[in-house]
Amino acid sequence: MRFLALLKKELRECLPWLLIAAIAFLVLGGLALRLMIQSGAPFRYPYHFSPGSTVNRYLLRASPLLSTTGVWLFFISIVLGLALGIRQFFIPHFSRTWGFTIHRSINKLTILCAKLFVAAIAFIISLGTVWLLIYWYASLPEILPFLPEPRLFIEGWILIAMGFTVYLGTALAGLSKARWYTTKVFPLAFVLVIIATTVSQWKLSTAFAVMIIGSLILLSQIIHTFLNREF
Amino acid sequence: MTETVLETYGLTKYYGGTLALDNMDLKIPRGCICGFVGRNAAGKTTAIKLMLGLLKPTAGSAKLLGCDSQNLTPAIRQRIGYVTEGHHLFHWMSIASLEKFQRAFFPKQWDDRFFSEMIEYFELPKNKKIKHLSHGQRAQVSLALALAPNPELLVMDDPTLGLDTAIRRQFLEGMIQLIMQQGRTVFFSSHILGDVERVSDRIVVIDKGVIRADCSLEQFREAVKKVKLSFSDCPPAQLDIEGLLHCRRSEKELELILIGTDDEKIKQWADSAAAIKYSIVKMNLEDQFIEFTAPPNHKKLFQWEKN
Amino acid sequence: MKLKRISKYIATPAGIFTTLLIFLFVLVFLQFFVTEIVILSLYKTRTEQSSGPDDPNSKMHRSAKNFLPDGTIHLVYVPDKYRYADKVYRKEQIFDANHNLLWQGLHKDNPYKYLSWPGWSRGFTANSMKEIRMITPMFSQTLEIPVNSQQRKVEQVWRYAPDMDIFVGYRFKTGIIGYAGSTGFTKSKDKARPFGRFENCYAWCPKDSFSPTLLWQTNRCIYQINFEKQRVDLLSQDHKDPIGRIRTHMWGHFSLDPEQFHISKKYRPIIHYSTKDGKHHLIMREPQQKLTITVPEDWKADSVKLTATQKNIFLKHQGGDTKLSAAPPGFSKQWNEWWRDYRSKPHKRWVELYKVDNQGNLELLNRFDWISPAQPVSNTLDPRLQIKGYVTGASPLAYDLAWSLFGDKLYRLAHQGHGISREYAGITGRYRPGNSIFNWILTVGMMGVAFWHGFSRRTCWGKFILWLVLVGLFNLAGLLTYLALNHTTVIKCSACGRRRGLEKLDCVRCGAELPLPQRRELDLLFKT
Repeated sequence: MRFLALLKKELRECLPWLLIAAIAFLVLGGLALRLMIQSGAPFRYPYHFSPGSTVNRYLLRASPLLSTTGVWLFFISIVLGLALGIRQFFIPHFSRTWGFTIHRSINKLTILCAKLFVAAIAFIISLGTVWLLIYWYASLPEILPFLPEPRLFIEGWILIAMGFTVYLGTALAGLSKARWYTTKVFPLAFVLVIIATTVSQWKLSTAFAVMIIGSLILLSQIIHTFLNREF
Repeated sequence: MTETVLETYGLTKYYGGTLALDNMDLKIPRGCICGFVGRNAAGKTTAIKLMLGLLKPTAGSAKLLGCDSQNLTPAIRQRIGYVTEGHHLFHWMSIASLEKFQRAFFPKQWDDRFFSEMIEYFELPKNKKIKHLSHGQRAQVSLALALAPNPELLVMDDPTLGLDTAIRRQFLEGMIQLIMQQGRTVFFSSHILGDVERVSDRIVVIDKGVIRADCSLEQFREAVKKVKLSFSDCPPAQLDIEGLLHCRRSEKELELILIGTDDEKIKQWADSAAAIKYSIVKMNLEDQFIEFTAPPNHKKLFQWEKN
Repeated sequence: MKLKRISKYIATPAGIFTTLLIFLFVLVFLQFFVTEIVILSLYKTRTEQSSGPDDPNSKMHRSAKNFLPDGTIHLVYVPDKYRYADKVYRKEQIFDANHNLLWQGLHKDNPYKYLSWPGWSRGFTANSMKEIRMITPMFSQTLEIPVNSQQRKVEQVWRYAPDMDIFVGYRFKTGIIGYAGSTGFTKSKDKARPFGRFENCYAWCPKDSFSPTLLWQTNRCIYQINFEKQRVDLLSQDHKDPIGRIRTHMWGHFSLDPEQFHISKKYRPIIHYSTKDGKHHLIMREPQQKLTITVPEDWKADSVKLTATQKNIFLKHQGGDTKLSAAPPGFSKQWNEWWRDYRSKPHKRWVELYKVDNQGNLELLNRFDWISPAQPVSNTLDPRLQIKGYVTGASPLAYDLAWSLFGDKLYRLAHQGHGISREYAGITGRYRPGNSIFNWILTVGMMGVAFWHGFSRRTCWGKFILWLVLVGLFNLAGLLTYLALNHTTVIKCSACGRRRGLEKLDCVRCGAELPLPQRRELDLLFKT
């Protein structure tokens, strides 16, 4: 019952961001897909192929029709991560409600778990569901000229996981007692490194491994800082 | 032997290189209403936060209801009510949702009727959001939230800060309600000595992180005295009276702040010092506190000149 | 309590790792930034003690050694100032093997038609495939080959599916129209066989088509895939050893450029590739022919070039007296020393031209020998490298330790890797600290600072020593990490008057506890 009360409270606090992210992605991502379909790509004639010519190797590359949708997913995921991290870990500091929150008849760790759980659910519900919807729509037989690769679906989840990693970095920055001009922003810099490393992977398993290891590094520090922090 | 609900042993806290709390030893028995007073930056909030485990001590320890403050279990926290300084609550919640939230943590202890009565008494609409309440109204909600679970120990950090006189009176009456229930202990910090005087039976005075007084209110009231003496000539240079805290001199007058000195001894000294007149000035608790915590050679900021 | 302790043992190293990593990146960035600004004002060119450009030896060494079809060798020398000019304006001097000047003038007026050699196919390599498959916000890409009509309309698109290693064909409104695998085009997905581990892909449009045809190289086979005609031709197959890089000449090339047009008339389309067993393979057209040539074991694959005119097949081999394979791994101190030593001495070089018969036998037509002059590398390091060497994040100790364990892997990653891992490896190689006494003094100095800072703050010797070791290994980055994570307060001990930390109750110097507060006699402390 106590945990539920905490969950409800956290969910209620994060709800506006959850909804904004879901609606924004649905509209922008869906619109991007719609525009791609209407543009007729890739069945527009590429004028750089002419008889007897050597074809530049990069002209054969093709982005999937969901590429612009993917860009929107990435940015909205990052923004959602920042927003949730700020809401859950910066705002209580500025509004001085940590004291009220911590003095609950419940374990400190449970308070933290409620926040993390709600954030995870937020990503899964708001972005994950919409991504599932968009991918399903794109996979319908007569929507796109050809079906999207199954791998794209997993890549979408990796982009969503990047947003969650940003959330963890923001959370750690919020909990850190360091000053802004010193190491307070280092968790966010570390998140940048994780994202840069993930983006350069071509194997899905390696990408997941990088994200998981990076997230675990951040998570361990979040737990330790939360349990030992002064409020 | 009376059970101790709140105790500290050598509790010390440094913020950087600044000593905020210096070796605080305290024992508050059950059923006591203890006023914790001190000037700004004396260390009151620091002490309270250390007791509740919100801060880590540099040295020493504290125990609440027999449990180490750094490891307060959920069961112990359930028995402690806490009113934070400034009454910061979740501004997006309404009073009703805040009640629901708080109730979830006290499933067996929560007194629905008491909370509703308190809210009615303070004339607060339950569906109003916290962010739309005034500071005083938030303080009332805060108190109601803290009292409704029937806590054994109520810890309040400057609960009447920023409240007007009427609201403060209501707040104190709410507190008295709780006090009237047996076995309840209240530990609160305040700047308003009048409030402390109204409700407390024990006073703890802290000054620059050091406990200066830890006694019953009566003992404090009796101990701190201001004596005004008039002389025909210059007052004596040497003041060898027992219990002298500090003094103020003018041409032919002397003002002494004495701690724990008998009236009889004051009279004897006045006679021996050849004072032509002396009087023991009646002080309220506020005046006593100011004099007790005034630094040595303290000068008044404003000197009124008589025309 | 237990959880607090467990979390401490995991979170503390995690925090140190995170902070150290970021400081290392920050330092690399600052190093780069500061170094480049300093170089702008202090730039000195490296001086090389070499013979000047007019020196006959140097001229000979720097001349291109071109062969005529009859085997005659010419040395084509381009003076320095024309070296990077467009070939229309490039002035050349042509000498024979005895250094007699035969001709000089503009490149376009050169009367001699030398043998033309295939270049490496600048195709789409395995690394390029990995790069486009990177998981970016725009999702991973793939290859798509359009089939265009003569009216320049896209009729079909064939998309490569890397996980299945086949091509899938689509028509605009019909959907999937077929699959292309190693066995050819088929309507059934089950019948399409994968091509094999992808190595390279080279594309061109045949002279009568608007649609690309692919030369598809795997580790064992070479295919030609024509999507318009829906044909997969297996040009070379099932080699026991993997196929190296392929060179192509006029294969699928048609150009209106006069020089290229002339070449296309005179030469047969050729694909030349080598396998690890040292054999060189040719696939030729006009007429179709395949040939395998065995060369001496000591010939490096890169030193052999093959070409085929309408009349003959030629092989060119370049060699020298020093085997570069003897060089130690790159980025190592030993490699630097080996390279300096190599450059400081003259070396014998030669180039040979062979005729190849239809059985793959070699007949030597001509050989030209010369001496490459010594080109000693100045001992004075580029100031850029000197600055990097002094202020780098890692200490010489840590760096050499890491390189002894991972040096080979990092070197390979920096040269053959892709994406950001290549960048990471490159950074590690680029910012190697110099192993000079100054660097060691810096390292000891930083450890000294950490010692001074931490001595009065220590809670236990073990932790303190570990931190000193970290600072010693990572120099500035280590020191900054230490300072960032160990900013505990110090106060003056009331007993001995020296600095002491607050993490421990007792003073680390004299053992005195924190002082008790000064109580006044008049404090009202009554125990009730």
